[in-house]
Amino acid sequence: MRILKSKDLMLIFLVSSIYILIISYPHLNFNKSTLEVTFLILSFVFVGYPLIAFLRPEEDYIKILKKPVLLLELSLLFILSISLILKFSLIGQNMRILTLFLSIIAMIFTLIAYINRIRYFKLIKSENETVSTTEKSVPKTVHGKTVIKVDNVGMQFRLSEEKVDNLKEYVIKFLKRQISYNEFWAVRGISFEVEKGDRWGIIGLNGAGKSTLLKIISGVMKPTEGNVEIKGKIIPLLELGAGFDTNYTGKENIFLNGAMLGLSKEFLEEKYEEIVEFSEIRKFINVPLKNYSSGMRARLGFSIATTIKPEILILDEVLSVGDAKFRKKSEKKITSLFKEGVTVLFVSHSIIQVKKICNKAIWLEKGKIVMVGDAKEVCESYAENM
Amino acid sequence: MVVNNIIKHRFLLNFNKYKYLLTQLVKRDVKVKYRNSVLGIFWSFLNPLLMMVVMTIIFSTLFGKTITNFPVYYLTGILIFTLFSKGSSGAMTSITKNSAMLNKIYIPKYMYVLSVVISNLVTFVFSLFILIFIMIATGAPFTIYIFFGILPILLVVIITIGAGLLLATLNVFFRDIQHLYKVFITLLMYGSAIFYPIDIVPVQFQIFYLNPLFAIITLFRDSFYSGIPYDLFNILYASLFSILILILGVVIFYKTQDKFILHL
Repeated sequence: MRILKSKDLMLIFLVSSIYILIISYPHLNFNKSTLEVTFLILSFVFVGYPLIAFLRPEEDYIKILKKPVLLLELSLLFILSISLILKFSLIGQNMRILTLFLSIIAMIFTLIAYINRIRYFKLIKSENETVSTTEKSVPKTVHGKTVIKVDNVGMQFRLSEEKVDNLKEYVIKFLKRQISYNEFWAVRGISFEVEKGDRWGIIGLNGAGKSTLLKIISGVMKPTEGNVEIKGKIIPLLELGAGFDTNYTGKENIFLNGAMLGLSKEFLEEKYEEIVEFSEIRKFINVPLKNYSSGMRARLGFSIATTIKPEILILDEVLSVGDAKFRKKSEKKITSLFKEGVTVLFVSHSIIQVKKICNKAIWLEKGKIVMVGDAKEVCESYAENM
Repeated sequence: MVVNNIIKHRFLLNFNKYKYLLTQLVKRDVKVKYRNSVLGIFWSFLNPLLMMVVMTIIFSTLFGKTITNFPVYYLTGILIFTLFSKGSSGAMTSITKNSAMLNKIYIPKYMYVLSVVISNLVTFVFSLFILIFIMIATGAPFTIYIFFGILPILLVVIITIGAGLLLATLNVFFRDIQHLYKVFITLLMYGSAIFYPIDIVPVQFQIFYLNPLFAIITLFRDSFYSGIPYDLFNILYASLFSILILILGVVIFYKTQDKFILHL
């Protein structure tokens, strides 16, 4: 079943609103009677079209346009009834106000017709879906709970030969037809399912598409094809303290950063003490961040990301934070998170670390999956192939 | 059922989740603007006041007595105009400025545009006190129509958000817009009758009335400066233009926002 995109209604809406703009323009000379009559006739048409679209939502817009007689008839009927109700004489002083009134009605009708059409197609779609789900078998995930479902994901980049980012160059290149792109897939055809509590390692050489995959999963990039489903709060530990404002104090940054991760004020106020306690910077919490050392910033970032109880944690080789003492503490924190059943996606070049942390692994090469499965097996065959 | 559908809509759920971010971003914009200055937030009062004094000295000698109560005439114009120009040009660079963050985690991108406009609205509300203070000081008449001033403020916010979304989108793909827009804003300022009377514009330059910002400023002056109800066609023109710009901005922003990340 083809779903109409209601482009016709959008067009009518746009045209009629521009039209009202013209009529309502305060300095327009609106005295010539021919102009007035043209305007009035135009507004009749605007009213008629959405009316038909409203009455027959299943009709294709091209089909409606093929019935101009019906369109005109309906519009004229409508206009006549309105003028009878309002006891307006159609020609004269009231012309402009009437025209305006009609166009506004047309706009409202268009909106109603649009909503009606969406509802109509949703009805049909849901009917179709109920049929199809009964035909298909029950979803195959039996054990555990799937939190991330990556389904045939692909990401295509267009690399232009030279980066054109100013208008002049673009226009010149466009006119000369010189704009060419190298299209290439950073990742393609990736599907896997992550269950709650799983710890996945993603391994591969530089440029294998690991970071792109993580960006797609965390929602920063939208894949060109396929889709990703996520259940739960996802916290990236990509680069610690990336969202900090250096003019802000530590305390203000905790709230700003937390807000960027989509957390509420109440939740942050509840966790504030714990974050400060863990990061060991209580003394400097009211000092602007520009006076912090890089170790202090990293500690603050780490504390925020781990204290707020993430459900899915994305680690990009950041397990080494601060000095030896804090590193030990942070490793302890992460293992305690593992015990609580947090799901982890871990990107690393170090096979030893992946073996230690993860129970499952994906091996990527040139954007494609080479091997998926148990962490030890994947790591061993990866090491053999190096 | 319909209401339930609307409440559970993806956009609203997302907005609800990130609305605390919006307040945080607005707070940051306002705070950082005046941080390290001695007078702090008072600059949002002082700035328009000082500018008004300068302009009054220059222009009341230039135009003589053609404008009664020049300070109020100037302030009503410049406050609305500043909200638009600062808001839209701030929104224009907001996406590219925060590219580091947008590259790391998912944040609804319109939040940055919205936060710039709202923080400028906050500054505007502060400087509104100055306007009222000046009105009292110069003995300008207060009428009931002063409450009608809400509508033009709403309209200027709508048009600023629309223009901001549009410009932010353009700026991601073509950074030249920043420089072009500066010139355009200057042109717009001279075309909005902020510090000269409308009568001095020759008849052949009637096109100047097409400026939607001028329509909004006129509405604002109707309620604050002249104390009369709005002109029906003027309000219609201004509101339709603003809503059209908003629709255009939202549609273009939403259609292209997934490609932003490739150009940041």
